Amino acid sequence: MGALYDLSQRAMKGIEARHADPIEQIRAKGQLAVSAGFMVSLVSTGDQDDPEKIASLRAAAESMGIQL
Amino acid sequence: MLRSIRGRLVAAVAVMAVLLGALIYFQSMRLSELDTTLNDLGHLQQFKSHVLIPQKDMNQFIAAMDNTVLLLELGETERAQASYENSVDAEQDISAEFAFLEENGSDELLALAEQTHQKWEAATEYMKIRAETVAAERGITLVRPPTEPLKVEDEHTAAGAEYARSQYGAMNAAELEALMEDDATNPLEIADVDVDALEEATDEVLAQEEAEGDSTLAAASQTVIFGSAGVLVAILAIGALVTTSVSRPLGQLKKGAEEIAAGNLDYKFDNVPADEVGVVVQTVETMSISLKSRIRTLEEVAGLVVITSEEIRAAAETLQPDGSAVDTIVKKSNELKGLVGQVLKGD
Repeated sequence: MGALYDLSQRAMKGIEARHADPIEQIRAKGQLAVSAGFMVSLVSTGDQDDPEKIASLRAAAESMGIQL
Repeated sequence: MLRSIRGRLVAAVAVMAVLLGALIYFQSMRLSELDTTLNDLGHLQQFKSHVLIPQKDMNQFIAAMDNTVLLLELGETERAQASYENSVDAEQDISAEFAFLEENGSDELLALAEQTHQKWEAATEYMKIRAETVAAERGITLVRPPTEPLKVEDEHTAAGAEYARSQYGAMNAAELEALMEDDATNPLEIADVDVDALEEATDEVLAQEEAEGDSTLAAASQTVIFGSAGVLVAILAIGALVTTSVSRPLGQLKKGAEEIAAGNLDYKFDNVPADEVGVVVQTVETMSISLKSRIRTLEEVAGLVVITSEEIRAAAETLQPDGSAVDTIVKKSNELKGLVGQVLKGD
């Protein structure tokens, strides 16, 4: 599995762990997509490790208080 | 091979077939032994019946020869000759019976049958010598009736007759008669002892064969009972093993499918088997992961729409106559369009 996929999964799990309320969870996932600039849930195991996407995902997660 | 359900079923059927084949083989072996024993028994019983027949014929022969001597003593020459000739039928029958015994005697009985035959031939010859000597001493010509071709002649016939001629040929009538006074010298008694011994020996062999037959029958019964029970237990055990090896993973699959159906998409299957059920389990797991991914995407889209619409609404609330907030609205709309476009492209 690639690093981008791994980070995406950890980000999603981080949000799901952080927000028990489903509505808040949905909002947080939307916020992560807006901040990262791409649909995080669509990253698959076969996707290439784009450094820009990895960097933007890390930044978006950190801005939401999620440690990757 | 045993990793797949099909392989296990094929192996189970093969093992059961081998077990049944072995059972049938051993049962047929036992039945064959039993058949052989029964044949031997029938053969022996037939042999014994042929041992008993000569005694009757011997008595008939002895009676005819005694009658011949009596008629000679009475001077009834013609009747004596006729009586002598009457003895031939019995003599021929006896020879046929001994021939049968010598042809069909088992190893244990053959030597005794041959010995009895020889002694009986000696007794027969003795009776003829006695009658002919009595006739000669009275000046009567007694013609020995021919026994050929119906009398079965063999080496024992010749040996017995030869023995009698050498022992009794030179004796006179009184000496020959005196031999009959003592069982130890009486040729008829000597032959009779051997006939009795042959009958006893036949009874012993018959008893042994019957015991062997009982033993074989018992062994055959045990083979059928214990063999069938053993094969039945083995088949039940194999059936239970195969059933368990299929039903247990199916039970795990059912439980996991119910968990996933209830919304637990993180459910993990334990001890996934390497057979066809394992393939289905892996497919269900992959389906669960895919489903979870789709749900996450839907949630992400929903969140995206919520966030973006909130931002657009906020920008619209600050909309000024100079249109300064329009850029923000357009930007957010484009972001939303782009991200939703990713979703559509992902599908």
